[in-house]
Order: sequence, then structure tokens, then C-alpha cells
Amino acid sequence: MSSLDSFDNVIKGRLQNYASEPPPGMFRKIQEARKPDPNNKPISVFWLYLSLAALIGLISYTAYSHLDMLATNKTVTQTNKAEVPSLKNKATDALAINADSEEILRASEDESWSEESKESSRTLLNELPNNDEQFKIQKARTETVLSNKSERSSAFLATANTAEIKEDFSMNASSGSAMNEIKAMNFESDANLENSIAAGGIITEGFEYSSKTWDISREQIIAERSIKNHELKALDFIAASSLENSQFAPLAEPKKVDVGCVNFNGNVDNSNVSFDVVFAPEYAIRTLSTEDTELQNFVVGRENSESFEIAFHSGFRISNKFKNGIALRTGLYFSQIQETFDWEEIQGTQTTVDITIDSIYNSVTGVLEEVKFDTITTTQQDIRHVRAYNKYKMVDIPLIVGYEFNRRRLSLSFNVGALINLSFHQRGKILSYQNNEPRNILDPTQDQLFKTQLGLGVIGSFGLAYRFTNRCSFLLEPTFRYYLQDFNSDTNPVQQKYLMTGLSTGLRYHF
Amino acid sequence: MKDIEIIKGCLREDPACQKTLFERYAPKMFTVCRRYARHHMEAEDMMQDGFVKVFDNLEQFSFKGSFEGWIRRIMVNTALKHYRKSSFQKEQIGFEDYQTATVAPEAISALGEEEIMNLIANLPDGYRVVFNLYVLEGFSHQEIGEALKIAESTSRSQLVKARKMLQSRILQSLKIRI
Repeated sequence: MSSLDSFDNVIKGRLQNYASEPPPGMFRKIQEARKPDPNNKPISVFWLYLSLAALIGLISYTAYSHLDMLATNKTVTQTNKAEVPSLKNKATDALAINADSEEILRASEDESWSEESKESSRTLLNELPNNDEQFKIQKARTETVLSNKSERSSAFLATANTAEIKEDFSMNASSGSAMNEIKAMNFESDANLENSIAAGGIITEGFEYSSKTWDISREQIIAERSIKNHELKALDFIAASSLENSQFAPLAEPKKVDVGCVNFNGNVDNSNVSFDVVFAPEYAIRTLSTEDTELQNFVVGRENSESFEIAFHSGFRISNKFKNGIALRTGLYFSQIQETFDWEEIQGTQTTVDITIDSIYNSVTGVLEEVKFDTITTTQQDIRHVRAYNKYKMVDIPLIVGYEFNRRRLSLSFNVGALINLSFHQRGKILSYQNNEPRNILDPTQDQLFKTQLGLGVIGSFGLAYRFTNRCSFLLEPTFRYYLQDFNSDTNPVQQKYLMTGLSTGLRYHF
Repeated sequence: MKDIEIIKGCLREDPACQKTLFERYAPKMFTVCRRYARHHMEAEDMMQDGFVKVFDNLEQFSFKGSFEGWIRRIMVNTALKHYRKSSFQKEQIGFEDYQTATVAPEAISALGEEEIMNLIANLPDGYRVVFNLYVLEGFSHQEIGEALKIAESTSRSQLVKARKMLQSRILQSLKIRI
């Protein structure tokens, strides 16, 4: 092993500091390899972010478009599974008001009912006044509408997925306990019964009204019942729905069942004030122009030497939304536009003269004579590539008026407003219009190129907010901003303006 | 000019400093690249890539330790990257073809550096890389295994085979000379 180690050491000793001549022109190749390739720009973070935001926006829009259907299905499921007991109670109560004595008697003799329920039904039957004519009128009106609804609903049922509905409504079979609730209602006294009778008419009227506004889900439910010849159950349900729209509603206050979900029915925006934190990657469209015809080439030179890199705005805002949907927003925005300035400076010129000399044997003199065969002169410029990152930074106060409307978890808004610029800072390098050479923007020895305040700007956005908790929403807002004034100072003859467009993302906290 | 001044100049993208740095370290680094490369052109590519990395990542040098060592490490890593790219071309040489032979250290001194370089360059790819990493860069077999994504035992056997083959070739070279 020691001989191997010594072999290794000898080799190492011989080669450790051995140097060989590098190939000529290698340094120039390295410099060229380090120059950025304008045709092979890496995908910037900005575009990746924008693509991601666009994808989120697309998904949100798709979800929004299908929200109605999802929400309706959810309502059917929740109603059937969670609120069936309370609806059943109401339906049974209504049945007691609207049905005639025969129907109650038939129901009370149903085998599936408990003895206690049957007894309760018989008691109720005995207590009913002998005004069958009035009840028959009410029932006839109810059944007429029921029949119409059933016919219409059959078409829906043909395409609807009724499996779940059937399963859910099997729960209604256990109506024995529901009948017990009749006792709980105030039907014992004749006075209350008279009120109930009077309410019957209102219920039916309410039923007719509500039938017009029934959604597809309920039509499916009714149709299902109709097909199965469960008119009685349908009547229960219809009557229950009627009850909700009548003055009799307090009597049959539904038992709220907590199904463990956040309730987003209707307008979820309980609060008017909200706090937003936003960040928006942007694309800045720049316009350079001049009225001086002699500077037209200079403007072209600037456009060629400067290119957009990235822009963004971020900040916070407080919104106050009024009942009519109008929202006022204000806050503080910080924004930045970053550009790259690329320039090549000639540092020096190297001239190489290659003279090819050969020897020719002179047979006369017997001497080798040197003869110059060729002379090649090569000129090489030592070019230094200069890159600077120009940054334009702004601080603004936005004053925005928006119109906002909610649709369950989503809210849409249209916003326009003004930007009051507080400060405008810039740094970097650009070509000087005086000598067409690169100069520092903040060079104190030369004239000021840009303003320190930009005055007023305009901002507009279309906002989409998705409420993912009771207090928080995710924001997605395509936004544009435009400053009315030029960025350049009065002494700078080249007018420079920007239009910024971007996709604002953020979080909203509802107070 | 001291290294630190050159480095600071390079950080300012000063071409003069870059050129000085290149001229100072290029000869040694080119030797390093040649030891790993199969031919001259590949060594040039390695060195170009290596120096581009050196200039691009100069701000990462912490001014602790040898600057030459830092550059050498970049060159070796670049060479390994090239090797991994072309690893599908690895040659397979049977160990049985080479008889066990021992070369006295004095015998090696009879050879010039360029001759030793050529002998190493003519080793099969796997042997050459393992030999260079172990003998000249001071890597352990574990480090070699991780760098080349091979087993530690493979690294050991490759080294043994490389030594034997190199010794055999040195002897052959000396015999021809005699």
C-alpha cells in the first residue's frame, strides 16, 4: 500500500502545479459567452406570476358561472337531510288546516303511523268544525296548483338525478313523530282553530304566490312525489312552503339544524368596512415622444437601449360599502417600474499585424533569403457591455369609487378612481439627450431628467372577490393605471409616459 | 496586483481585472481541465464554462481560504458536469488485460509532466476521473461516489485499476525510451 501511496504522491507532486499554455483567444470567448443573449431571455418571474394569476382567474370565473347550479344542489341536499324534520312539522300542521276530515281520517289509519299519532289525528278530527265546504274549496285550489306544478315538474324529473332525492324523502315516511307536533300547535281551542281556518286561505294564496317562485329543486321534489302518488306528502310540503310566506309562519317556526357549514345564503356581506392588502404584477407600456425633430434618432436610441423588466404595485386600502352597492376605497399604494439599460462602450482598439515570412534558397548566391509573403492587419475592439437597472418608484393615495354586488361567496366590483401621487423617485442610467452618451439619472452635475411628483393619475379595475372564510376574501382584480402628466421634467425634451396594466391579487378582511 | 484587488475589479466588471485574473489562473486551470478531458477541444470547453462560472459567481467568494482553490473547485465541478453529460460514452476496459506491475518513484521522474499528462489522458474515462479526483484533488471514495453517483466500492476498484493501468503504461513508455 505504501508503494501505491508513494506512486500517488509522485504523480501529484509532478502535476499539482503544472501549468500548460491556454489556447489563444480563450479570454475573448469567455467574454462573449458572458454577454446576455437578447434572443434567449429567461422567463421572468413576472410572466410566471401573471400566468398563475390568469389561471386562478379562469378557475374562479368557471366556478362563478356554475355557482347557481352548485348552490341549488346544496340547498336540496341540506333541506332534505337536515331540515326535513322541521318542514315535516310544518307540513303536518298545514295538513291539519287544509285537509278535510276524510283525509285526516285516512292518514290517521295509516299502518305506518304510531298509535299515539293516530290517536292525536282522531282527536283533531273530532275537534274540526263542520265547515267542509270551506275546506273543500281550499283543498281544490291547492290540488289544482299542485297538479299544474306536477305536470311541469315531470319534464324536469326526466333528466334530473332523483336518486338522492328519493333517498332523502324516504325520511318523510316516519311521520308519526311529526304528527305529535300537531298537539304542540295551538289547535286545541276553537279560537285558534278559527285563526287557522282563516290562515288557510292566506296560506293557499301564499302557496300560489310561492309556487311561482319555486326553484327547480322543489319542482323536482314535487314531481317525484307526484309520480309516486304521494300527493299527501306533496301537499304537506307545498303547504309548508306556503306557510313560510304567510302570517302563520311564526306558528310553525322551523327548527334550525346546524349542519356544521357556514351559511352563505343571500347577502353575506354583513359588514360595510373592509381592509384590503393587494399586490399586482404589472406590465408597463411606455411611450416616448418628442416634438424636437432633431431628437427623433435619439428617441429611437433610447427605445433600443432600454427595455421593460418588471413592474408592480402593492399596498393597502380601506373600503366602505354602502347599502346601494357603492363602495368608497382609499389607502396607500407603492408602485415600481423597472427597466434595463444596455449599452456597449468601446474601451480601446487593438490592431494586430501578421506578417508571413518565408525563406527561399538562392541557388546563385547559395544563401537563404527571407521573403515577405503576406501581411494581414486585424483590428479588434475591446467592448465593455454596460447594464443598468432603471427604477421608477411611486407612492400614491388611491381614491376609488366602486360598485359592488355579491353573489353568495363571490362578489364582483367595478372600480374607477384617482391616484394622488405623493412622491416619484427614479434611479439608473439612460442616454443623455445632450451628447447621446449614458448618464446617471440622478447626476447632480447635470440637469434633472424627471419630475419629483406626478400629480394625478387614473386607476380602474374589475374586481372579483371570493370569500373563503366568514371574514376573509381572496381578491383578483385586473387593474390599469395611468398618470396624466409626463414623467420627464420640463427641461427634458423627451416625453415619457406609462400605462400600467396588471392583475392585482390580495386578501380582504371584513370587519 | 493582489488577488483581492483583482477580485474587486472583476466584481465591478472591469475588463482589465478580468483579463488579469484569467491570465494568472488560466494556465493551471487549463491543466486541470486537460486531466479530466478526453481531448483538447473538450478541455477548452470545460475551461470556458468554468471561467464563465467564476466571473458570474465571483460575489459568492467569501475571501476565506485560497482563491486558487476556489477556482480549481469550480473547474473540477465543471469537468465533472461534462463527464456526467457524456458518461454514456464511457469505455469498458477489462482489468485482466493489465498485469500487476510496480513502478519505482524514480522511474516516474524520468518522464516529463506532459508525458504523464498524456498517459493520464489516455486512461479510460471512469479510471481517469476517479484517479484525478482521488490522487490529485484529494477526494475520498465517499465523495467520489457522491460526485459521480457511483458506489464507494466502484470508486475503489476504479482507482486500483487506474493505478495498475497507468503503471503499466509508464513501464511501457520507459521501455520504449530505453
